Amino acid sequence: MNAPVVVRNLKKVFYDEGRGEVKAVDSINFECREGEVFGLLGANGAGKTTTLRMLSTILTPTAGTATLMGNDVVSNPQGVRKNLGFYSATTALYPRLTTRETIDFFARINQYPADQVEQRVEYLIQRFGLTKYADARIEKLSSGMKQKVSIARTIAHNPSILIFDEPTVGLDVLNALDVVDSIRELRDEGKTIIFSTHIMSEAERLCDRIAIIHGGHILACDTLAALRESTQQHYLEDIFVLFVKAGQEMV
Amino acid sequence: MNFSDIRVLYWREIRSALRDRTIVTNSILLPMLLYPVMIWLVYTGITFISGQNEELKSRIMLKDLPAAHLRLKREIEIDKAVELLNPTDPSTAVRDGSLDAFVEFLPAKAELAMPANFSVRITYDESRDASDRAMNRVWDKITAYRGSYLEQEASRLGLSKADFQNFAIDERSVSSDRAVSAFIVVLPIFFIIMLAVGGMHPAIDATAGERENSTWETVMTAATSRANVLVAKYLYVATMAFIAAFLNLFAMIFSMGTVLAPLFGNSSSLRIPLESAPVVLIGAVLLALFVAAGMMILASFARNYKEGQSLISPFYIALIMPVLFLQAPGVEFTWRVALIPVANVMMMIREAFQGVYHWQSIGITLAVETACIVVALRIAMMVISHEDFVMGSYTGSFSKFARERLFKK
Amino acid sequence: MNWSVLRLLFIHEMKMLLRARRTVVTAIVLPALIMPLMLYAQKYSSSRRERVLTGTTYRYTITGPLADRIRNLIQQAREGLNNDTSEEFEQLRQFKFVEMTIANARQSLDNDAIHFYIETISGVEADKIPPKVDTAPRGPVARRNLPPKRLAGVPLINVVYRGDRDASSAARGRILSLLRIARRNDSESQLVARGFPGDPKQLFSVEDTSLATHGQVTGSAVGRFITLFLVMMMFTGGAVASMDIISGEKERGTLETLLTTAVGRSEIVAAKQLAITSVALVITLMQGLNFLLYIRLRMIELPQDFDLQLSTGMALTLLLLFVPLAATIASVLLMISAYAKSYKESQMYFFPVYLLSMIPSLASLMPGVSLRSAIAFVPLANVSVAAREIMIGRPDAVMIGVTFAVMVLTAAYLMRASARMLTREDLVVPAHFEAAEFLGGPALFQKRVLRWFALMWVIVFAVATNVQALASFQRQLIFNELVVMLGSSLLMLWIYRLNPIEVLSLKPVKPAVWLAILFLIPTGHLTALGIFQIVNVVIPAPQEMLQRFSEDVIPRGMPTWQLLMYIAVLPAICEELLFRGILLSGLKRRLRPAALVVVVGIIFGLFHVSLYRIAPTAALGMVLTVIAIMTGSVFPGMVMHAGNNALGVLGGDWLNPDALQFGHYAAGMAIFALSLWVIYRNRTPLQK
Repeated sequence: MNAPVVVRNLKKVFYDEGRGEVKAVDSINFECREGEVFGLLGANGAGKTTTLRMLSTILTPTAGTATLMGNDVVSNPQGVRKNLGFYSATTALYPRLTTRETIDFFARINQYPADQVEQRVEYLIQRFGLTKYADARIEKLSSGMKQKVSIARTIAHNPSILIFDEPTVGLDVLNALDVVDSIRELRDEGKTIIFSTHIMSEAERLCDRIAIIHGGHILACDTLAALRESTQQHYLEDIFVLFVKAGQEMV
Repeated sequence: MNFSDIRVLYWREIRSALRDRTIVTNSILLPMLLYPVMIWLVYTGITFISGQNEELKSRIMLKDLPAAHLRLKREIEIDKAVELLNPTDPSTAVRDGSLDAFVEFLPAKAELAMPANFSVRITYDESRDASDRAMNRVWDKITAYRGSYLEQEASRLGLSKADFQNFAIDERSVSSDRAVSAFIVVLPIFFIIMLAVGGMHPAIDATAGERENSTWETVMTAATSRANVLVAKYLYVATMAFIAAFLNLFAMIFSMGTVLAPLFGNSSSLRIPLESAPVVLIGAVLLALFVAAGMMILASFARNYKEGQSLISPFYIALIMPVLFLQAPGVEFTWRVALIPVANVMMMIREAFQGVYHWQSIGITLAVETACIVVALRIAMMVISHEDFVMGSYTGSFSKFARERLFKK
Repeated sequence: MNWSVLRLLFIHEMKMLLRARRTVVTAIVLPALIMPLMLYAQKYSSSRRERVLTGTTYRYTITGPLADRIRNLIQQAREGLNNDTSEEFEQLRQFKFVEMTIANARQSLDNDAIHFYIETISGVEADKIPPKVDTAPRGPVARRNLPPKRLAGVPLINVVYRGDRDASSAARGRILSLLRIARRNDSESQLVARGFPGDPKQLFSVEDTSLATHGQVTGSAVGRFITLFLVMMMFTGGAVASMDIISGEKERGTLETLLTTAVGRSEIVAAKQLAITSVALVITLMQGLNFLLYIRLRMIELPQDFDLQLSTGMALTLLLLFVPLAATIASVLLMISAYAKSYKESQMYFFPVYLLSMIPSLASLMPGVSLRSAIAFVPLANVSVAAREIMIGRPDAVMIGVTFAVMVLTAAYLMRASARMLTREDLVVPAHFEAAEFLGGPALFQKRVLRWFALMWVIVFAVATNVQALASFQRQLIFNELVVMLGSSLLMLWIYRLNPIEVLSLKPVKPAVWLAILFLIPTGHLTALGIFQIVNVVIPAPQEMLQRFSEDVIPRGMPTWQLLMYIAVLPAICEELLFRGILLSGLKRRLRPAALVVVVGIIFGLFHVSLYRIAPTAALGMVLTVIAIMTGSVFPGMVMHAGNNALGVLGGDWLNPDALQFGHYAAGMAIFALSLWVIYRNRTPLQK
């Protein structure tokens, strides 16, 4: 059985007027399994954002392949998106729709069976405790509420693969913990989750396997325990810094 | 193209739009409220001023009015709006404003056998409204007096009043009144302007606005094709533009009805032939589609609302220019004109109102407009598929975009 | 006001403005491109039109029994004109027309085979035609000399044309002139043939000479438009700067930063005001120069005798008035920007404000307006009229002073309002959580109530002026009162889930109140009449209007009880429920009692659309509002309202303003005040 997410020699090259050819992502390989949280760690400009956008079909790879649930991002992007829930700081909600309308819209537009949409919407509203705000407009909600609605709409069509790009940015401690809990729940339901963050403690707590990306390359990809073993460091932050420095030296 | 997807996307756009205060205000409330308020203000102003004016009398001086024509003097005196004065220096009085008209009766110019003839010289000040009015009053009175004098003479000489009147002259228009038909000519221009105004905000909102709100990526990662998203947005913009234009049009027609009727006094009726409705409607729809397409392409280059606006303004103007030129009368709806987008639809509508149909030109118009729309949509697709646009690394410069597409690769 | 800080802020604002390249381009380059194109298009159109019309040979035909006679007359008139070299008939001489032989004139006209036709109708036939309905305009647009009525048995000559075709319309004008000349010639030759001594044409000839210099005439024409032009330019020029200046800052979050510095609010506002004014003036100047350029390049044709003479004194006086005008416009723009939450929103408010501001500037276009009247107190309109008078060379020093004062006060007031807006917290930081929107119901009602009334006003006005079917007295009343007013009340109660008894104040009152009401009815009516008289002095109502008004309101031939039902009972119930019920409840939490009374009164007045009724009706409205507030119930108001209207119907002669004297008014007002005091003593405290 093929893994839900398979990335082979994925490459992305940009042309910038000032700098010329920029290799944002340079031949990376990895796989994600079912029911795991796969962490992607990297500094700004490391290629993390570009990778995730290639996986979500927003950008087209220059070379290499990425296959999600057997669908290739280049040849069948729509099929990819049908099985994918993508969440990022740059994916906001429509301010003038109500909570219910938002979840309904995204379920439908992601090809969830039309006759089951209403049920699904109700289920999600219950699950995330949105009953009181079900008919309130998004623009009126607090940021914590908006976060919950965002996650609800991400999984509205019950995708098997989820990508969370820095989901806790700007949230207070309690709300951030809520988000982490939700992600854990989803992992336990058997979803494949790619999770990227800056906050090391979150990665430590949540990720099953961690990949460190820097300068467009993947420098390490293993469980936390294995990483600790190989670097003789306990804290993820130290592990990360070690790899990045080594990577820089390599370049 | 998946039509149910487009339908879901379309309704989302419409729903959001109807809850946007700006769009609802500009496209729906404004036409309904603004014109009546304006008309009311104008009407109030007019009544206010006419109230003020009633009190003002025309101050006139009569000099050397011949004794044989005392009746004329009496007719002038009786008029409540006239006040007879007798200043020492009438010319100066007219100049400094204390007298409105100085009327001198002089001996008749021509060598005539008419014993009771006289000639009149009215001295007044053209730059002052009151003086101008006084002069006209006197002129009218003398003309009326002349008429009745001649009538008397005619009866004396054995000519009955009816015979002297000879015949009555009147006029009859078998179509809409001139003022109203001028109005009809203006209607299509107005419609286009309203299309542009009504469509501008939705167009910018649907493209640059989404980028500003960061909702663009949310919809891009949905399991539907880019084409569907684009078509839904496009239909949305066209719909809003169309609604706004029609509402404005009706509001204007209603309001103008109240203004035109009293000012022109004729029984002017807006006689728009009903058979023109299909042609007019098709024309209106085509215009809406065309304007929407143009605006969407341009707005796609913007990163936020303000930029979107400054990109669309030139389009706005480019839209109106050919239309203005074609206002010249005598411009025929030839096949050449039919090739110019927007202007061709305008001519088509105008002629339909007048009950004239040049089928060949109409055919060419439909073809040209449809072609333009398809091309525009293709270009729009190209723009939004381009990665720079999505990633936001696009810095809002159209020339840079064009250069990249054409010269690199 | 700290001047150095002001200067710092001002330079800062200008720097930010000038660095926005796109703004500069759209504000300056774009208009500079459009204007010439539009002017050229205009010129092209009119010259083309001229050529087409003078070049055409108009085709026509003559039908009917008198065709031959008319044909001859026209021929003679034409010959006569060709021999007459006076300039007056130049255009007519160039009028070329040729007669055709046509089977069906009407059809040929429709097909455009002929441009017009002359239909001759014998006297006997003409007598059978029903007379045309007199649709002559009533009111201010006066008409000169109407043509004399056709006497019985006199033949009728009709020029039939198509108003929607340019050529046909042009031909009609000329053939009518020709026919009139032909007729006059014929009548006069008949007179002479019977022995009239001399040439009738030379009878009572009139000539006029104008003492106005070319400079004055030019000044008069230019003066009509100069204010409008300036207002338009300054609005569009200033908008470039103002849209962004506060609302854009709010969006970007820089406004908050500014407000946390050690600078005062008034300096911030003043600096922004100056920035807007400077930009507006510069752009206006540039447009003006552009204009001069176009004149130089002949893109705009100036009429002959155009001789603009602007003395230094004139120029200075004009400047004196235009400076506060610019300040006022800048203040208006600033207020829009301060009120709006974002750039988008400020755009939305700009357009209607712009249009509405152009209307007072049109004052100078009306014939016969004089600055020495109440118009000196209307901002914008006063400058418009004053500018024209100055340019004619007849400045009215006192009233110009008044104008200046009014404009300065307006500008200052608006600036203060803008400054106050900056301190309102919900404007600086857009609110996220508005309870009213969430809870719906009564809280939302209070927010929305004014919008409903605006909509209702529009509907009443629009329907009244446009829908012919409702023109009759009964129908209009039923529509306005029952459908619009009562209907809206019920609708609002339903939509916002309001408690009718609470909102409509359907509560009982103390008995003494009823006694007071009994006295208030006649004395209130008297007081309203008194107010009307006072207002009439300042804003005199045209006689014709008053007459027509009383005719319209009270139709003849209706039984009294029916009249009372329609005029007294129906409006009393519906209007009280709406204004003293719904409107009062909606606004009472937002306004202090004094402001509440004034606002409800004025809105009530505005619903009685005509200018002259607004004042006394508003006064009545205020009294009714006071009573409603004091008693907490609409019922006393209903009775008083009904009584007041009934008096208007029945009072007739002995309540005629001419018959009443000051003593009557004084006594009336005294009793009025006393009755109000009684109610006050028996009031029910208003629950909030």
